[in-house]
Amino acid sequence: MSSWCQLLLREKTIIRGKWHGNRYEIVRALGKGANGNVYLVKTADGSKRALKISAEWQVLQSEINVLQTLHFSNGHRYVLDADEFELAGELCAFYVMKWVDGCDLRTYVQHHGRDWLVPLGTQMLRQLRELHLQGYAFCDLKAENVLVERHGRLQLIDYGGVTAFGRSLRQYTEQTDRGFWRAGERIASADYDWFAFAMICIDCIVPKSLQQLAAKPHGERSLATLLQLVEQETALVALRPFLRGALRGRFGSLDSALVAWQSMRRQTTVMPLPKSFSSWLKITFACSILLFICTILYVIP
Amino acid sequence: MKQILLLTDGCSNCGMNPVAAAAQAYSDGITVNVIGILDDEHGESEGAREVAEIAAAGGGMSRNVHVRRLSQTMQMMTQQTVAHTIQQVVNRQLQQVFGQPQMEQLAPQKKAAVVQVMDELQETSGLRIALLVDSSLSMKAKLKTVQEAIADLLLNLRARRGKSEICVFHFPAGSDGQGAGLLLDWTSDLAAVQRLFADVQSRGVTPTGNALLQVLDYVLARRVQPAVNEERGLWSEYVV
Ligand SMILES: Nc1ncnc2c1ncn2[C@@H]1O[C@H](COP(=O)(O)OP(=O)(O)O)[C@@H](O)[C@H]1O
Ligand SMILES: Nc1ncnc2c1ncn2[C@@H]1O[C@H](COP(=O)(O)OP(=O)(O)O)[C@@H](O)[C@H]1O
Ligand SMILES: [Mg+2]
Ligand SMILES: [Mg+2]
Repeated sequence: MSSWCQLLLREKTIIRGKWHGNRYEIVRALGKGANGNVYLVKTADGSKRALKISAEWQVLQSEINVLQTLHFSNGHRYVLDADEFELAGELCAFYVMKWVDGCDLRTYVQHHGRDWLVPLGTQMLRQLRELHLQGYAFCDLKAENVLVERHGRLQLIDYGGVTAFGRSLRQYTEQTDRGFWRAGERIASADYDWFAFAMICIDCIVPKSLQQLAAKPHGERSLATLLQLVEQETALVALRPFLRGALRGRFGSLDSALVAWQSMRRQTTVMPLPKSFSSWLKITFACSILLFICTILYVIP
Repeated sequence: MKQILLLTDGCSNCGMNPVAAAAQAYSDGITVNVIGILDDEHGESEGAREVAEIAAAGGGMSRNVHVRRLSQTMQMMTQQTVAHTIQQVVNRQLQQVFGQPQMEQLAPQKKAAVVQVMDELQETSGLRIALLVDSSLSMKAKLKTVQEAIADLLLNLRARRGKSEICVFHFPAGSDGQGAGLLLDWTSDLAAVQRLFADVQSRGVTPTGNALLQVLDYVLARRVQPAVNEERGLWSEYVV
């Protein structure tokens, strides 16, 4: 369906909400998904926000409804304003949220190294757990819907797929969907999210092998072939115990995925260290030896 | 909610006019959606035109796609047509109760409430989709993909709270090859879809109109299925 709302709005375009009267000035486009365009906007007081517009107002309203029933641990409201405006006689619905100034997870890990996967994964699992405790699953979990800001602060975006446990999925993405991999039902549950989470991890580390597997015909995709990939790829060795559990749906309580993930932190080398990091380690090690010698020489009489 | 979804790759060439058959379904309260499985998605072929006309007469949606996008298209169409039907029902209610002309014009809080009701209906209403698959010669190579797409659609449907089932017919079938044959009775069992077209012999002509009418009767449960051994040839070879 082509519509005015799907056109890219130009810089300096003013949007004024029909019901609440708030004014937003478009700064630039932030991204585009299946359901909407997201823009960086300036509010009347000059602060920057993200604004999501959709021509399909029911779909957007349904996303807003879910967001408004959820509680976020930081106590903030996710939807800061929800309104609509007319563009060439057509209704365009929008909502305003916090601007996350970052890039998507895959890009971040590619640029900053695999070491980041463990702390980022922890944050992701915590945010998922927060949803799960309220009886909802995120469902449409994929790298594009995970933004990472400076200092490796992670934020899930796009709550359009969020679905109450036990209900059928509203939105999902083939590559992370366990139904696509013929590994389970398309019903919202914590297991469903953990499967998708595992797929994101695999995709961050061995993207090529995963793509090859995903390109196979329907009949050749299965949980078994995924598990085989996990066993074969040496780059996945540290993640193996977690991935096995997540792909098989073997985690019991809502805490167990996070616990399993965090237990990896205690292992010595999670993944091959990038050079810069290991040389930094050597320096630290050298310093501590020096300090030790100094201690012996000076402190001990 | 009941729908017919027709999957075909070309023109009907015998029997009743399929556009008229679709109009019949629409007047009986059953929408007909059509997916044209074409090698050239943007071609202005006669097949593509017929696909659009059947859906228009059947009050449904149509798309012409390459077979590799069949699964995705079936899911999208199902979701949209179900949402559309519910929206129509809710709109009618709103007009009766509030004399409200269009739900677009409701205030935000009322909109939020209406959408909540629609989401609930979308998840919990019963849904039956009768699939009618063209198995003429030219479709032979594509039937495997069609089967996989049907399995994937069923995976979506069976996740719903509301009872959701499909049945599958193919055409041409029957002793004279001028009608449709039942491959799968109403079910939500994934295993049942496994070997769907294994015993189908692709053949002959394309009697789309006749097949549509036959499926319509089945969906409306207007006519009891002929007993398997009573009318040999018409059903027996197709009932699995
Ligand atoms: N709060 C935000 N801050 C920054 N960028 C965002 C924000 N929300 C969305 N985006 C960008 O816009 C894209 C599309 O938004 P999203 O909500 O995922 O839409 P859709 O539901 O259509 O997938 C995202 O992938 C992301 O790049
Ligand atoms: N077994 C057959 N016997 C006689 N004619 C056949 C047979 N199979 C196909 N044909 C002829 O080939 C034509 C094309 O077959 P069909 O599979 O219906 O193609 P399409 O669906 O692409 O139009 C038919 O109209 C029919 O005349
Ligand atoms: Mg998105
Ligand atoms: Mg979304």
